[in-house]
Amino acid sequence: MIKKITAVALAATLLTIGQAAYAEETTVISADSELYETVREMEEATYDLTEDVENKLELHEEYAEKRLLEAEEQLDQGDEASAEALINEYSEYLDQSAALLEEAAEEIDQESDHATDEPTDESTEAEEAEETEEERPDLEVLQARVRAQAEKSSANLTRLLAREDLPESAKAGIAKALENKGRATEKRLAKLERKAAKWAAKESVPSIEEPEETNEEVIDAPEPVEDPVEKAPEVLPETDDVATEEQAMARVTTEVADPDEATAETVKPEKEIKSADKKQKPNANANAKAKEKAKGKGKK
Amino acid sequence: MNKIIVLLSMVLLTACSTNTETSPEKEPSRVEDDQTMTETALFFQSEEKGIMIEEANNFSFVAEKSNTVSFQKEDLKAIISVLTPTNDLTNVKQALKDGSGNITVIEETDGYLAFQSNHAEPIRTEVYLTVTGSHTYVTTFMMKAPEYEQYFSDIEHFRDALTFY
Repeated sequence: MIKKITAVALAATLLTIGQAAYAEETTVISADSELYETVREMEEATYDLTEDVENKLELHEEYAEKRLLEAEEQLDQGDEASAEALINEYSEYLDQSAALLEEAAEEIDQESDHATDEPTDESTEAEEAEETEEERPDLEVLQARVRAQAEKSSANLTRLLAREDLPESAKAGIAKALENKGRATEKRLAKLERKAAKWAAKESVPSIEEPEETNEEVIDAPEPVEDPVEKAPEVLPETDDVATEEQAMARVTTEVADPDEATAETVKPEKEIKSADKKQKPNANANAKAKEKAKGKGKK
Repeated sequence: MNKIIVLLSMVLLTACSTNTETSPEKEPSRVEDDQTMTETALFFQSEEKGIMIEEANNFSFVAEKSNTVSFQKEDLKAIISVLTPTNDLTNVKQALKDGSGNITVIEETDGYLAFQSNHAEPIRTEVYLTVTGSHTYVTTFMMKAPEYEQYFSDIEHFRDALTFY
């Protein structure tokens, strides 16, 4: 869960930083430049060489933004025809971005179906559970991207629409694009939310099985425990609460910190060690040998 | 009678001889050979742009536009741009950098520029600038950044086969 939240937070932060950085760094060369055709060819080559749908989407958004900046520059120079052509290209990019967003969402949906439909053994289940945690943020990133893109596009289009030197035909096109953009964004967000709900439902299935595994582990590993750590079970009630177990472990370790009682550490109840290891949070003060033993059993 | 036989034999021999010289099987073969030789010798030529490429080196022609010609070999793209003559190559390189957005320059000399895009899937771009009396040529190669080493020799071969005139 922590991993998931961290991944989502990281993705959202990177997205925000990336967008902010891009907004500052966006540079274009004039559509009148002799090198303009070359730059457009380079954009096309970059797009062709990019494989991931989300990365392609990022390029589309980048290119759409550049077309708009170029159109504004052309308007500044009084070339309305060229500006209008660029605005049309901008609209085409937006349409293509919408299609790519759908495609990206579909891909995630198919991956999630694949992950939950196939019967698997324990190892692959664990791997897929890990994949699920990694893939899950994609939908949230997509939702954030849809909102960010919609806001950015609307702001750009509104700014352009306010220009007095904008050709009438382009004005009509932009006004229509603004209307369609709002409706399309709502539809896309609704669809993504449905997918997110579907994901949540699928993720809730494996969590029910977790306590069973823990109980099985406890039953399989009853080993004699010597004094003084024999008291540990009283201190450490058998529970799934990781925090409680670890806190109790820490208390036991503190109790045996006296050099005379140091040997007691080597005979910590294996049940406790295994339990702590299973949760992948080994106690820093635990004896290394006991840890290895516990890990070895944990792998089984 | 003998005269007639001799005459018929001569006519027959003459006919066979003529047939051999104008054999329709041989003629197309020679034409094919000529075509193959021409294609091998000259993969692409544009007199208007002053570009000649002798060997294809497994590149294929993609498109020719008003001032660019593009080629491709697998995931290696080549774009040849024809500009008006200029000795200020710094401006040309700067325009390419500006137009390419968020990039990291890897190396830059007078007639060479290498940079990589800062996208999730980085693309490496190699730019070679050539100035002739009539034009400035920009030869651009683009590939996925991790595949640069793989395509290095292909870039060299393409450049070796390329002549600006």
